[in-house]
Amino acid sequence: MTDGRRRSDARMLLACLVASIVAAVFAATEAALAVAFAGAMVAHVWCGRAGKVPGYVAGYLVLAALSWASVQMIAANPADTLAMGLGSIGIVGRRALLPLTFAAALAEVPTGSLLAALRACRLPKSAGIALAVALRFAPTLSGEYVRIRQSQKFRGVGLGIVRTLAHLPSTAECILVPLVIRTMRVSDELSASITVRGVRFDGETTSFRPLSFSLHNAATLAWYCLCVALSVALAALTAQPLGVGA
Amino acid sequence: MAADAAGARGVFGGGPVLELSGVSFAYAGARKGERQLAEVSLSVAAGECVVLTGASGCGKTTLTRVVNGLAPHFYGGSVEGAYAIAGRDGFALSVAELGRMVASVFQDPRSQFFATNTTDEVVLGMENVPLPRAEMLRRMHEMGAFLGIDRLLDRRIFPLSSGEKQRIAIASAAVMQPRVLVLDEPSANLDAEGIAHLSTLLARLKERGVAIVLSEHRLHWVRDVADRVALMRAGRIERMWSRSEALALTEGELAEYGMRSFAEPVFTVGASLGDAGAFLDAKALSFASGRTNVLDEACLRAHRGRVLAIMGENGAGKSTLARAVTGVLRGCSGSVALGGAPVSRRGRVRASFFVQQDADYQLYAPRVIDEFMVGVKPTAERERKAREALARVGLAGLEERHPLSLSGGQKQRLLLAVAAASGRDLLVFDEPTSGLDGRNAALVADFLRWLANRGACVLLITHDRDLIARAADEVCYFARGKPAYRRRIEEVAKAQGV
Repeated sequence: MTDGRRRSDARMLLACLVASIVAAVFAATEAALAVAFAGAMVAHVWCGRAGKVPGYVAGYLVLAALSWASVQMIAANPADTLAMGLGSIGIVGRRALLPLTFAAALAEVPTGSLLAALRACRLPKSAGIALAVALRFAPTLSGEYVRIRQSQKFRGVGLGIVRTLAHLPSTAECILVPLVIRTMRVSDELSASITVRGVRFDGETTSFRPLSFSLHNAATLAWYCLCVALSVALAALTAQPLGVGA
Repeated sequence: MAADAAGARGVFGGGPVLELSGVSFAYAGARKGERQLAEVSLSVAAGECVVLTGASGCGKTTLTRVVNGLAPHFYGGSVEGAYAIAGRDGFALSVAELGRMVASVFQDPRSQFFATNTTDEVVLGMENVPLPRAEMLRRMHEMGAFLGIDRLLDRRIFPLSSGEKQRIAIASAAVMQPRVLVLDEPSANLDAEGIAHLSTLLARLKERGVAIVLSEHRLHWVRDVADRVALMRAGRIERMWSRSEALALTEGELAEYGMRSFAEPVFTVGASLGDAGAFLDAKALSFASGRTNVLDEACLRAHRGRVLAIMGENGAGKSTLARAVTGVLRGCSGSVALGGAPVSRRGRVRASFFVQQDADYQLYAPRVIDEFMVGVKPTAERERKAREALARVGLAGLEERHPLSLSGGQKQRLLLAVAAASGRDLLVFDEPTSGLDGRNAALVADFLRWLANRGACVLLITHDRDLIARAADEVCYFARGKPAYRRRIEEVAKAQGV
């Protein structure tokens, strides 16, 4: 871990995540959303996560391109449902990207520190455990999905785009059934594992890594909250709907 | 049981640390009168290791769950009898309180880790006692040196090898300074080196006075660490042997009990069967992941009618090789020919069948018989072949069952049957006997032999030397991304000095 990551207090990341949700809901124009996104990227650089920023920017641009494409398609044919779908993906995807970047940062926080940070915020321990399990689960799910898709190919399922689209319901079923079963099994085993090690909803915990809300954390949080406030204000002043080209 | 109490003295003397007396357990929702444990009595002394073995479904895992409190506190159910742990009533303690005396290591490293960093995983239990930070640091450093895991600390967990993950799991348990350590098939995902490390770690913990309860099918690695071996059947401890008594059991007696051997087979190998007439001809397969060459100009040839076993340490590239040969791996250079003709990646997917270790990834249909029709058009001929294959693997009569309601061994056999009925020429199996008892493992071995005798080209990725001895014609040792050698198996004997 870099020094920046070591300095990232879970409380700061949580506050940034909440601010991102605010921005995602109220930054209703392209310019406003772009301000919030740019502010988030600067915050990630300050937190020692500069390596992740190009990927996030690329994702944002791809989703923006989908929005732009949908606008052009709808202009040609207002009843184009594919265009509407693409537009929704582009708009919702970019909004969701903001909090997801901070959720990804939270997933790297040591579990004990995360639970201690949430307790310091007077949140119930059950919320911390649920959040820690959810963050722990995301990489597991993606790995499970890849193994399922690879196995399917030998059964003639999901072989190529054409065949997948031609048999979409059955292909989806062949993904969902084992994915749900594996998810249930892994979550069951994980729950049993943490239960026998004393992780429970009541009782005190001590974080092995001491919590430290430094000046750096405070400055990062202040910066990002300022960006979110600016983006919301900008959206209120310009008041054009997102996605039709501001 | 008098014999059991007499055995529970261990090298540390004194009475037992753990004592179960007439314990019965039934899971919530079990049929009336059905019990997963039936009047089990077991005593384990400090520094003693008791190995639980038996056929799948005999109650080994349930017994470990009663010992660590998961049954009935997590897996609900009704329990009877008495459970004493370090002089206290185990049934009156919460799971958290029991967890300070009984530490657990589970089978699958992927699903037992709560943290993503090794240090955070090791200290997790201590954080929840909670212990003072200074004490956590002291124990972590002490256990790091004792278990030899210093170089594994403060690293991301998921890129570690299976053996390294298991060591972290044991360290996480050991730092709690438990009186009892419970392990449920800890060797399932380990290679030979990992197993050797595991055996050494358990021996060291025994020397410190930790009582060990170990549920295991693979008995060859426990022969030096076990003090007693308990055979379970239908929820009861049917037989209890001392170490010397267990090692004196003949192969015939072990087979009758459905147990695997305590002795690993020793192969006498001869010159390779040669490449002439090879059905599978893979040349110069290379694949990199990050900065690591997972496959390094690997070449592999295999024949119809033969079983080629591919061995090697975890991380050597065996599974990646299998994925490259069968066409599911993108970005791999090199060429693969089947039957003398080069085949594209997609063509190889259609021409081969790869049965992975975990059956849950590969079962999709609502009925067992429907699994044979996934991705193909149902026909009467296909159904006939499906029923024939099911009968051959001992699953006749289960056609209407939901595949996911089958036991682990039954699911594995179902996939073997699906592979057989597929009619594909190249069949690849990755650890098909993982977690199987002796009887089911023998069934799998015989079935693989049958597939080869029918003309298929069979590749077998495995650490299981018993399986290789029973099923394979040739063995290929894989190391650092390429085959190190390939030899024909001429003779199989059991290791001496057992």
